[in-house]
Order: sequence, then structure tokens, then C-alpha cells
Amino acid sequence: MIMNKKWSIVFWSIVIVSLLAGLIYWQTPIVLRLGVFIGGSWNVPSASTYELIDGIIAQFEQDHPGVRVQYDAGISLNDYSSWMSDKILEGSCPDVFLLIEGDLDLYKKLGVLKNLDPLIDSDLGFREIQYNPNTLSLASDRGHQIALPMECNPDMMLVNTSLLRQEGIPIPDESWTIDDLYTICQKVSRDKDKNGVLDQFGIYGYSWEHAFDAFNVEILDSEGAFQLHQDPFKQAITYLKELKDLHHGVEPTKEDLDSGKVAFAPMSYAEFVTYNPYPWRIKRYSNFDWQCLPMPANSSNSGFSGGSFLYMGISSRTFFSDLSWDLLKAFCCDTKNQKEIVFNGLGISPFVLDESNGDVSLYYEQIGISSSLIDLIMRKKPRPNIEIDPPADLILDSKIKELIENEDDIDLSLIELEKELNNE
Amino acid sequence: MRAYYRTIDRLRAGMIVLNYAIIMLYASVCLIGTKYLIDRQTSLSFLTQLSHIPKNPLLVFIGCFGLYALFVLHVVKNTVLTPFLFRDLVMEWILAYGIVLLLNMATQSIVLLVIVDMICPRRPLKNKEIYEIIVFSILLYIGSNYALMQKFFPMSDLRSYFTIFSSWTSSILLLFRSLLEGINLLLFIIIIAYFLINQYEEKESIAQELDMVNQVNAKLRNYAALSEKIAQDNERKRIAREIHDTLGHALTGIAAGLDACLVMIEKKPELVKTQLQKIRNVVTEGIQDVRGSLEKLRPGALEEHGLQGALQKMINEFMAVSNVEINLSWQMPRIDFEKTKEDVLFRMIQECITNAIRHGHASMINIWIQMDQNDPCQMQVIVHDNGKGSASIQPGYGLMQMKERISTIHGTLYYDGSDGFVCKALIPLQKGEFDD
Repeated sequence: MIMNKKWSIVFWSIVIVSLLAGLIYWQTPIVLRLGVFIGGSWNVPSASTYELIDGIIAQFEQDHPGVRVQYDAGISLNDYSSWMSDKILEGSCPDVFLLIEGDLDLYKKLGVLKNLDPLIDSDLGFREIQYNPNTLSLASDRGHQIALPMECNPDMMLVNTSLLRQEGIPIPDESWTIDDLYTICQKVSRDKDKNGVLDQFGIYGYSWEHAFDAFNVEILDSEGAFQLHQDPFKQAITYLKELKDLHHGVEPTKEDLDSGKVAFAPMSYAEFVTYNPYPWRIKRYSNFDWQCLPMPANSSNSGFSGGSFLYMGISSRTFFSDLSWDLLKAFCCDTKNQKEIVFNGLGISPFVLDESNGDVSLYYEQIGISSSLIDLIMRKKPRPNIEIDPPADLILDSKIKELIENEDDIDLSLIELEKELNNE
Repeated sequence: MRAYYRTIDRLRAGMIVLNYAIIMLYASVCLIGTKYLIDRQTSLSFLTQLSHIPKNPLLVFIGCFGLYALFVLHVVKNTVLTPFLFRDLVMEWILAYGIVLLLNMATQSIVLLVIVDMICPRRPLKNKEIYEIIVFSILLYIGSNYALMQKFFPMSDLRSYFTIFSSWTSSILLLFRSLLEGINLLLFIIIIAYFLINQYEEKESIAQELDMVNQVNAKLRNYAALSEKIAQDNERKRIAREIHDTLGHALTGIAAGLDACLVMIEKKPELVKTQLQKIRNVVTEGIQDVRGSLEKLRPGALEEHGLQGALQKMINEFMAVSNVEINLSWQMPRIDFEKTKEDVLFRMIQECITNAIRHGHASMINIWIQMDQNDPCQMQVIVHDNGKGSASIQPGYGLMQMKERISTIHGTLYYDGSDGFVCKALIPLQKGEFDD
């Protein structure tokens, strides 16, 4: 009996303490933590991100009295992954946070992200249809939506129209293919001052990733093993070899591009916009005219769309899933904020372009990109995520470069490389 | 037996201390390791090694400390003398499993402690309880196994925190951890072995005692049979002697007298008359002798000690052979009972005591023998026991017999089984019985 009494005292004191704690907790405002990085989402300078984020937060706090949103300022993109992993290890993961593509697979594996399906299903205001379906599909895990796309930064092809006009070559339309690219490159690559060294080039900065996108190469099979011995892969390598051979061993430089001696150069949307800020339109490439085309594929409208996506997700450990969902929606679903993102030059909105956002189309037109081009790119299947842990990624990169350089039998090398990578 | 419990308690105390060390080792390595990783800026590469998002290490540390404190508070109160309660065990399971969950099932050491508490209880268990304990032990062990549960409930492996430090520190930590867990396992095995040996010995000694009891029982039975036989023989001899001394004597006298009558009836018929008178006297004497002999066959005690003494003797005998407490309250003036009355009262009380023990399982019987306050010419005998009584009484052979006997001495018998069992007899007394 004495023991029982003692125990009931212990029990009741625990209950009272937790009730008090709950009361104190209830009195304090709810704090949502936001994980963002600043200073340009795509490694290009940008000044307006703080203002944009602060504006969205202010609006959110106004709509949700008693809720405050906090974020750590001053984290750059390069430090962001490491900062996030610190927070995850400490168990203080932000409630809502930006997600860069490289971390997505790790977070999927660790279960860092909250399954958004229940929130989406219970939210009548959420319209899946306003998104380009491809942008949603990458942020899903076994059929569950685990993050929403906030902005996209697809690859595009910069075309030096002055050079093409000078060579008498018509400018290709948006449905051009890699064969068109090769033909034009072949025509423009030549030694203009006849000094024996090539001084006008077809293309600058075309990497094997771009070629893989063009040939729909998927180097990982469904189990995550490397599968290199396949026709599209070989075609892509052969194509890269041929393209390289056009330059007769001379590599064009950035200066060649800037001075208008290169016909084509792949470039991300963000790079493009940063060098071409609306509304001032100060042209970096001032000594030639240019325009943008989609990246060519081996047939029109096929191929993957390369580039990167920026997502936002909710922590699986959050205590305030509904509030977090509202905050997430403020960034990713609110039409006004999405327009702000576009107007600030941060990236392309994952929303479908239609009549309802004519001002966005207008913005694109003003920076020299047709909205039909944006639409075309966004409708393409996104590049399959090839998150490869080190050191396999380094080996893959150097081996593919080696393959392009070498004249060896490609089949044999591929089999060996596949074996080597799968044993890593 | 006490030495056994003391040893088990000491070993168990060792396990309790060890478990504290093991649990806090895991919690602190997790806490310090997280800080170390962040300081070294290697959190991302560590994160890629994990299979699931880790818990807040500070929460794990504080939670483990708090839960283990509660666990110890709960466990140490179960000493040798406290009764074994299933409720206590369930509480222990819950606390232990809370710790196991906080540590992401990195260690099962505390489960071993709980299993010890389950299988070494302080009292013999029923079969059903044993099965429950076995099932729960297995469930708890499986439910706290990382390798198994990880497939269904993904969680991070706390053991990977041990290898993040410099190779020297890591190997010291790993060594320390294996040492602690090894000793804990060893203690567990020792306790189980000790428990099994003790169980075996206990069983052995019980078997021996049973054997001995059986032997004594057999002897006792033989002896009882023998003494019964002897008593029967003695009784037969006594009866034979009585018959010889009384009836034999009288009948012989009668036969001799009748022979004399046969001779005299022709010659001196008037003498036959006196002779027959003599024979009649012999017959009367014979009858008296026979009555005397029959009286000698009454209970010996009654003959020797009178009713009060005989009752006390019988009570002592009952108390000696059973656990029942019998009180006799004798409040009667000096009285000389008729012998039949003594017999009937003695038999009635004997029957009541037998019933109280046999049917009522009573532990206390009170007997009052006193004068009736309302009627000075009447005495009352009350026998009250604290047994289970009987709500509705169906008089059996014993009660019927008692009633009939009481009625032969003009008495009445009442009984009631609502509170234990009460028998009350009212018996009228004759003037001559009061001893002035």
C-alpha cells in the first residue's frame, strides 16, 4: 500500500508537470522553421531572394496569426546540403525546407520527407493539374508525393544567329534534331583566316550528359545497376566523337563563345536570365545576335529534358503538418508567389503556362524566350535521376571522357567499364 | 532458499548497474558523436551510411536517463519479500521497451534483465502464467531485435556512431561496449543456470520427502491395522469373560436349581416353590449382571473420567490430530448424570465436532455446556463452529441419528447453518441428578 501511494505520487507529479509544460507551450507562439539557401539557387548571383522569401513569410504570418516562421540566413547553395545534414543528425530538421535534386535520393532513403498524399487529398484548394506532370513525378517515392517543385532550371541551347546568317544557314526551328546540329556544326567549323588552325567552331560546352539526354540514355536499370552496353549509349558516344572530330583537335574556349566565334552553346535558364536581366537587357554577348532553342534530340520531341529542379518538402518529424503544408503551398502553389519567382529571374515555374498567366508568358517573351519553347521543354520527360555515390560518379565521368578520346573498340571497353562500375 | 534469493538479487543488481552503463554509453556516444560529426563537417557522408533519419540525440539521451531512472525505481522495489504481480511485470516491459525504442533497438541488454525478472519470480507460477511469460519473453526479444524489426520499421543504426571517431577512440569504445554487453550476457546466463539448478534441486528434495512420507504412511497403516486387531481381540476376550462370569454363572446356577426342582417335584412339591424362588433370584441377579456388563462396554473414558473429563480428553485428541481449535466452556453445578444421558451428550458433541471438521472445514469450535437461564430444570449444550456452514440443511444420517438419540432422553435439538454451524440441544434434568 505504501508503495502504491508513493507510485501514485510519482505518477500524478509527472502528469501535472506535463500538463504545465503543455500549458506553457500552448502560450508561446508556434514557430515554423524554414530551410532555405540564399544567393542564387543555381550558382548564379542573385540579390532578390531574401526580399522574395521575406515577402512570402510576411504574407503567411499575416494569414496565420500566432505563427512565426524562422530561417537561418546566409547559407549558400554549396553549404546547404551539409547544413541540412547537420540539422537532420541533430534532430532539428526544419519543418519546411528547400530540396536540391542531389539530396532527394538520400532523403527518400532516410525517410526525411513527409508523405504529402494525405495533405494533398484533404486539401480541396490544391490542383495537381496546374503542374506540369513531369515536375511532380520526380518528387515522388513509390507513388507518394514527397515534395513539390518550386522552380525549374532547364537546359537550353544558345544559338549565335549572327554567325548562322553570315554563313547563309537558316536558323533551325524548335523541332530540330541532333542531325541538324551536326550538319550545321560541320558547315561552320572552319579556318577562316587560313592560318591552319580552326577559328570558327560549331559548339562549346556540349557534355556527355547532353548527348545522353538527346539519345534517351538511361545508364541505371530499375535495380540501380549500371547498364552501359546498350545501343543508345553507344550512339551517344559515337555522336560525341563525331562532333569532337569536327573541331580537328582544337577545343573552343569561353572567349571564343563571348567573341561570337561559336555557333551553339548549351546553357541553363538561370545562366541565360542572369546575363540578360529584365528589363534592362544589357547583353553580355553584345557583338552578336542570339536566340534560344530547346536542346536537340535524335528525333524531334523525344529525348530527356536536362537541367535541375528545386523542390520544397516537409520534414517527416514536424509537429505542425497542416501549418507546414500551408507554408509549402505559399511557396509552391500560390500563383502570385510563383509569378514573383519567375519575375525575379530565379527559374521557370513548374506551373503549366496557359491564359491565366499571360503576364508570365509576356515576361518570357521580353527576355527573348518564346513561351512555346518553355512549354516544349517542360513537357519533355525529365532526365532520369542518376544519383551515383562517389567514387563511381568520378570514375564514370573520367571513363566516358576516355571513351570519347580513344579509338579502341567501344563494345569491349563498355563491357569492362560496366563490370568495373557495378563492382564498386 | 533465502541464500538462493540473495544470490539472484546480487547478480540482478549487477545487471541493473551494467545496463545503466550500456544504455548511457549508447546515448552519450550518439550525443557526442553528433556534435563531433558536425564539428568535423562530416555529417553528410555519415548520413549517407544511415538507413533512416536519426532521432534527436539530446532527446534520446534525456529520455534514456529518465526512463531508466523510472525503470530502476520500479525494479528495485521488487525484493525477495514483495509478492509477484503481473501488473508490475507489464510496467517493467513498457519502460524497458521505451528505452529499446529510443535506442533504435541498438542493444537488447535490458531485455535480458526483463527476462530474468520474468522467469525467476518469488512464488511458484501457475501453468497459464508460465505460458504467458514464455510468449511475452519471445515477443519482447523479437520485438527488440534490430535486424528483424528494421525490415518492417525502418530506423537508423545507433551502432554506426561508434565508428565515426578516430580509429583509436573508436576501437576503445567498441571494446568497452562489447565488454559491457558480454558481462551482461554472462550474468544473464549465470542467473538462468543458477535458477535451473535450484529448480532441479528443489524438485529432487521434494521427491525425497514424498518418498519418506509414503514409507511412514505405510508403517502407520500397518500399525493401525494391528492395534485395531489387538483391540478387537481384547474386546472379544472381555465380552467372553463377562459372559462366562455373569450369564455362564447364572445359567449354570439356574440349570442346577432346575435339576433339583425336577428331582423334588414328585416328592416335595412345596420345596420346589422355594427352589423356584431361589432360581428367580439368580435370574434377577443375572439380569443385573448382564446390565452391568453392558455398561462396561460404554466408552472407557466416560467410565473413568465422567462426562467433563471424557469430553476434554476427546477434544485434546481432536486438537492433536487436526488444526482445529476447540474450546469447552463447562458451567454446570455438580451433577450426577444418568449414564444414558452422558452417553447421548458425549456422542452428540463428538458427532458435531466431526461434522465441523469434515464438512465445515472449521478452524475454531466453541462448546458451551450450561444450565438454561429460563428453566432451572433444563440444561443446554451448544456447539458452534466457524466453518462454511450451510444455507439449506438437508439432515443426513448423522443429524437424524443425533435427533433420535436426543429424543430418547426427552431433549430437543435445534440447528442453524447461516453463520458457521450451530447445534443446540435442550435437555431436561431430573431431581435426582442434582448432587447436593
